[in-house]
Amino acid sequence: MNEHNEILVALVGQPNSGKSTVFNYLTGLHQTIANYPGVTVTKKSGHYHDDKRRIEVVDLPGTYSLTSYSQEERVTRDFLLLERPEVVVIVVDAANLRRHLYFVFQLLELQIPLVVCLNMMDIAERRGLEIDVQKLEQELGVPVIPAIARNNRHSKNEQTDKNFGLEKLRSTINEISQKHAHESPLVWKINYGKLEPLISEFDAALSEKPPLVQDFPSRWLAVKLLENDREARRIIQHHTHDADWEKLLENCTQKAKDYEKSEGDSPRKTIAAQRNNYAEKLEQKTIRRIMKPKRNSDMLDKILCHPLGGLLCVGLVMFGIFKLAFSVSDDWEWFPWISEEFGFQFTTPVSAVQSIFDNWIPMFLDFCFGLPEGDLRSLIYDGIVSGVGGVLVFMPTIFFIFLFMALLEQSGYVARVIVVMDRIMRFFGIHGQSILPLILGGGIIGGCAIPAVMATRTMREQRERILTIMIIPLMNCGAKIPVYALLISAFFVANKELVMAAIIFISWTLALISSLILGKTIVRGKSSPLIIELPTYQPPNFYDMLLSASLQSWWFVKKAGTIILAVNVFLWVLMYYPRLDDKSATASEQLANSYAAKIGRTFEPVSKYMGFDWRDNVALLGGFIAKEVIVSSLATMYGIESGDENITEENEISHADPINTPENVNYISENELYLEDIDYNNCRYLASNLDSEKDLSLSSIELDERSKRLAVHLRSEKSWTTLKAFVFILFVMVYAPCVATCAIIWRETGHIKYMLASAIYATTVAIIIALAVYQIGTLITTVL
Amino acid sequence: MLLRLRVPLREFLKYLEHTMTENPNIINHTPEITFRTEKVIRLNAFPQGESGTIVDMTSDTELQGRLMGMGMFIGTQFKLLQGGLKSHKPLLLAIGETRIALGSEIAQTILVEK
Repeated sequence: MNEHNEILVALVGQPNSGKSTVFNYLTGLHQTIANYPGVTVTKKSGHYHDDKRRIEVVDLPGTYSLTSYSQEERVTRDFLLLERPEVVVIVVDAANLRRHLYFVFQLLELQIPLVVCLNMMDIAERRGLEIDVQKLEQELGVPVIPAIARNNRHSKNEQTDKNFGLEKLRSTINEISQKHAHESPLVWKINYGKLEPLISEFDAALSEKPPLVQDFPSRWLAVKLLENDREARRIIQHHTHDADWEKLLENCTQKAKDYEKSEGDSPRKTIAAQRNNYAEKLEQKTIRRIMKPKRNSDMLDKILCHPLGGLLCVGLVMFGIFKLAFSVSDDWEWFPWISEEFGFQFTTPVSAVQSIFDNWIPMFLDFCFGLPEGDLRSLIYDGIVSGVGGVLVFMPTIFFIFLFMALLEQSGYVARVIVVMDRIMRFFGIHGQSILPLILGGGIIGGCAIPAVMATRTMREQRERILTIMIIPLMNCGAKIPVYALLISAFFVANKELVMAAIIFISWTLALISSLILGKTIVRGKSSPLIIELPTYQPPNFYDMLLSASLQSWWFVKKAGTIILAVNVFLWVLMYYPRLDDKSATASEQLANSYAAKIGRTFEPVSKYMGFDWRDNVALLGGFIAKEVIVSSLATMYGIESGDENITEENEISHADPINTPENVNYISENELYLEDIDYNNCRYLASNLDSEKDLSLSSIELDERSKRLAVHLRSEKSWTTLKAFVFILFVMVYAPCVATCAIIWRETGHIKYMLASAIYATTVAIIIALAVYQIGTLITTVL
Repeated sequence: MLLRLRVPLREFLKYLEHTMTENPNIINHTPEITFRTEKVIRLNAFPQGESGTIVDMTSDTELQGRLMGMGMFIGTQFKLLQGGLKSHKPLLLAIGETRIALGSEIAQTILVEK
């Protein structure tokens, strides 16, 4: 790393210390996210420029201490010791100073260039605390900078700006980084009392080995050894292979045991107690209570954490957020004055995106290149433009969901949700925190697995996180809803609501049972108990919310968009080639001859026991790419194509289908009915439209024109029975997550094995269920 | 989970009985809590709304480390805001300005007194 032009700054702090707000302030939009190699811990980094230098900021995971028990703690410690950042900023909650000092001490013992950012000064003030910052600075021997990170952006007073809060933090970072790195920082010590002789003994022994001492401060290692820290032992074994060191370790264990016998307490407990005592003393020295604290959130917690009342609140809040996200993005007309005069639907964010991909981009392409009919045109229009559009159409909704989730997180409510849900979810081996991602993924109905998997980032326990990621695809995401809607309106008209409720019930049952099964097989391990801090309720910072929502949406676009694009092109090839020589061949004839059809036929020998023929197989295969494709593929496979030949059928609909009263049947222009060669994507917009508009009200499942005709067609088709429709719904609900979800699972877990496990598990379960239900169902119907 | 936690409880009670009556030698090697059995109870049995002090933590070192990181040490004072009295509800503790929610199975491993 270039010492003069780039400096590395690490940001550490306990959860709820406001660390991410500080990080957002420092780096703004210049953030990237990745995984630390080999682990599921998310690495957030960003940069800013100062005095022509580039300052790289790494936001280390929030941890409560620096023992080496959890992945986060190990990642944090290794980063601090091995990457040797020029400056380490620890963000500390001024209102909870003692607890945070305990953590500060552990960092001071590491002998790294530390800056303490004393955040939440406003809350401390509200609690009637006065903090003597200078005294604290003196006692710790490192710069202490008071700040109110949450309000920093609103501060109007320019004079104080440079000397207070985060601007001061910036200049301090600058100052410290200019000092020479090898100018060894002050050796800061806690007196561990009766343990001191032992510590100095091992300190001396350890400092004889230069390679070890270069990376790790010897006193720190000595303390860690006496604490019986596994990682410290591993470090020593890793760095040296002498027999001497084996002896030293044994000696250490023995001495620790002796100490425990004579003092009645293990060295580990003594060390912790001493640190705590020291923190307590320091707190007494630097903090003065100038008035009685006002705290009224305990009353609120009584309601929000109550087993029953809290559950009700969680339900209401979740439903509210979903309703609001969908309303804002797709129901409320934002720009009603831009109407169809322009020929484009531009009233809501969703319809705007739709218009762009439906009309503007094809028009622009026509204008610029004017591609002739043919393979290339079909590839670009059907494969690429509408493929990418099919994903981006979810963007506005996802953005608003992220925005509201950020609001919940910042306000401090999420911790309460976890407490309330924990008792229920724990029974199935997952954490209370899993509820949020599961609902995002379609737990109520409608949602998307991709943001859901991304939302698991806030979960601290890896086992629970991976389990949650694995069961998210079983939820009923927005893309599955059109399939349900189609089949329900075709076969279960009489009791739509009942079937819909049954679908939700079945998917939750399957998800929870799967969690039990997977927790005992693939993601084995001890379920971690509930220990969670309930942060103080805080008014959210709008800048932070917006930043986090935009960044997450952008990552969603980047991750999902690229993969979906590639896979779409692949799918397009499968369905487009080989071409028939006969130019007059219809789309369904073309498709029947395509590679996709061949694959569908290969699976027929197995799938016929589930009641699916090759046409259904093709639709389901397409659904593996993206579930939105299923309905349109089915339509194409069953030859539902142009408007003219179906006029009679349309009339039939209004008679046959009680939900489709003539007023509801919107006559769409011929233009729209003429489908391009193979338009598996055309229906995506309709499908996505359908899910985002209608998914919340079960009673109003409506279908677009083409799906209606398909529904009628399927009802008249001999191979489709009510039983088959039900099996088809079950299969679509369970079978392999779509490619974009798979990709995100891989990225987020850091292992391809979890992606494969998720896909294989889901498909196996789907096949078993489909086989069982179909066979038993057939048996029952024949007997009856 | 529940099964695993019940066994130590039974063993602990047996052990207490044993130390108090039959074999006074063991007392020398056990921490002071054995002398205060009347007042010392498990956190999950603590009455709601009362304040108390943490006397000992018996969970594994990993959990202890986390509890300490959150400010729970031997000798720390707390107030139980919710849960307790052996209900299976999660417990809400107030420690200074910090509010912590604990599962009842962890509360079982924490020994406290009024």
